[in-house]
Amino acid sequence: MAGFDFFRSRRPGYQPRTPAAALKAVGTGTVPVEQFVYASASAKPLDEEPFDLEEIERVLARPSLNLQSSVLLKSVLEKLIGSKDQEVALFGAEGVNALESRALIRIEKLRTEMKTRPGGEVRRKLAREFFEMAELQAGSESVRTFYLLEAHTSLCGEEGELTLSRADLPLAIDILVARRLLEEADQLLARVDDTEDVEVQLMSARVAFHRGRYHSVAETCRALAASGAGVGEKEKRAISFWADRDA
Amino acid sequence: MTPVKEGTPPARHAAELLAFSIAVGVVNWFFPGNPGFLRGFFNPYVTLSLLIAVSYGKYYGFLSLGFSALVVLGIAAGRGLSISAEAPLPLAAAIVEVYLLGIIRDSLTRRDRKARELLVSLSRDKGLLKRQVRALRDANSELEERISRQEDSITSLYSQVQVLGSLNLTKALGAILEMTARFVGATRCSIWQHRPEESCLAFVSGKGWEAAGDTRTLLPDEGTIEGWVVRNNAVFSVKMLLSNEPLARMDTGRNIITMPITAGRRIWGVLNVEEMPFARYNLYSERMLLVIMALAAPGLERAIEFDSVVHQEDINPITGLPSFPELYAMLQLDLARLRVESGTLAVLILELSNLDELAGVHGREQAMLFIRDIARLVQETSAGQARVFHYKSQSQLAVLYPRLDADGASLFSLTMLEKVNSTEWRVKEQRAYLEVTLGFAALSGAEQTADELLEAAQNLLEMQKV
Repeated sequence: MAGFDFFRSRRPGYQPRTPAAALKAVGTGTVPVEQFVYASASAKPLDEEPFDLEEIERVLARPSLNLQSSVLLKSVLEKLIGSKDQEVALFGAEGVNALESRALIRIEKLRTEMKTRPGGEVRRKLAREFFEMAELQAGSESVRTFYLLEAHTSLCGEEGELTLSRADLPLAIDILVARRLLEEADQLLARVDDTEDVEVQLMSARVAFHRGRYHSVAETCRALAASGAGVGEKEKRAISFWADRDA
Repeated sequence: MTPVKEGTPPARHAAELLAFSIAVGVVNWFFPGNPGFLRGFFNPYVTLSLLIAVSYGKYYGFLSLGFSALVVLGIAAGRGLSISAEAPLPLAAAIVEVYLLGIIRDSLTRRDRKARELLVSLSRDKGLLKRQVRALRDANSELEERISRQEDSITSLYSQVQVLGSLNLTKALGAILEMTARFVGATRCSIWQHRPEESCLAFVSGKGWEAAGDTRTLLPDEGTIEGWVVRNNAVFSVKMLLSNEPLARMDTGRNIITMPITAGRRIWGVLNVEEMPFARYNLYSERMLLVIMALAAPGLERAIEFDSVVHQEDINPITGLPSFPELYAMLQLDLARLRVESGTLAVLILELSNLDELAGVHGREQAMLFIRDIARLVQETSAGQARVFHYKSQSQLAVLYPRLDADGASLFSLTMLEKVNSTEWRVKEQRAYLEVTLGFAALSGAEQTADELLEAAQNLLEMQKV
């Protein structure tokens, strides 16, 4: 295969360590494109022990990490805090601090923006930031609850006085499920006009699942399976599993 | 003179050209003897037409020439002169020159337009390419992140399976829960050990239990789904509630997937998934759990066997007390349980400081019998609540006393010291004096490990000796 010639004919020279560096090097013609493909596909899982501190630092340096990566990174950094090597422990503590400070700065910016330009979009962004901050606090239940409450307040108002739009609904359900306010989640979904909306039906099934109303989950999934609604791969698996009477 | 812009009306240009010709004609009016500037080397009319041809193209050049000819004819008529003999040659030369310059100009204009079009096209392509590169870079970053966080990778599974080979039951159970969380997405899961002699299942390890309000750590093996799984050696999945009425009656909302854990031929306990995301509850997750349990079975079986062998062999033949490893394993299980129950526990370490002295006088076996008697005294004083183990040296005993806080432990220690000192210890009518020192630690609100708790008790013991 042509791709393997790259390894056979490789000469000593610049070897980019990361996929991003390899991509830049390909752009300048310093290394062949195979180097980028190889580097991209060979990234080591973050939480594989022994931990690769350079890799962790590199991922930590990214300004826009998504929630899943942030949660994983924090769990790895928390493991590092327990290290006997003081430098590694300090690196872990600083990393956690950096991760949380970054989120807090974003929250502060959005709060300021809310004062000058209050609106649904900014409100939703702020609530999303609080929700993600809560998800980062998996090990500390009280802090997590605090941020979930902040997320709820940002989205729905102090006493739920704000009217939620359709775009607010998924986040509102995420927050209510995380706070285990399943009855409220059900009531919120019941107020949605468009009962044929696939996403709303999936949310209903999800809330029913957490409430232990499995007959309702099965019914919703059968209806969704019968309608052949276009959904993601994960949801498709869950729907077909519940819709299948024999499984 | 401005170059012709595309889209400018031809009539406006024609008017402009006429104006230029008239302007030259006005100047020509003041040269009455030379209408059309036909005499001499320099002819402004021809020059104007050439400039027009270069700037606007050959057709405008011809038009300018035409206008100039009309103006010159007008001037000649006005002055009453005839130019028919002198005009044809310069006019013919001007026509040829305008034509040639016009062709050259058109050719250059075409080339220029093509170059501009190429530049626009290249610029557009470059912009498009930049956007594509940015999108690819973002996609690469996302893919790279996905690879970096591949929690459910085979290498991760392999690492956890390796832990199962450590013969440490606590670690092995932790590894099973870790795999369940990673590969199935369980946010709350636990392992329960079946105790047939007590007809119950006891909580031995859990993940995600800190956040939950459920504090039950013992379940009956009758009338519960966990018990049903043990008795039938069958997997329970919450979807079964839709079609199985007896199971639906037993359901308390605690079980989503419950799997038996086998050790050899017997069912050792169950793995229970209590919470997981809706989207992750599917056939794949069920099969994944079966794979995890199949991979874990050999290692777990060895760890359970090792644990029971250690449990049996580590009984001191003289005192009948279990050894330190047993204490450590028991303490870890107790701590895991207490984290769920939010209960308290005290650890006491007693040391018979003059054990060697007593052994020298009465013999080693008799000295060890004093240790046994102290242990019995502890159990009597605690009304059977405390469990006594050997600690790190032969002269030390460790006591696990559940539901006892720091104040209670302090009081119990004083009582023990008083009882040891007030008891008349005798060997064959010969009086013996036992010197006992004591240190203790109680589980505080903060999360403490077994090591931390033992170390705290040991530190206090060392301080008593000073």
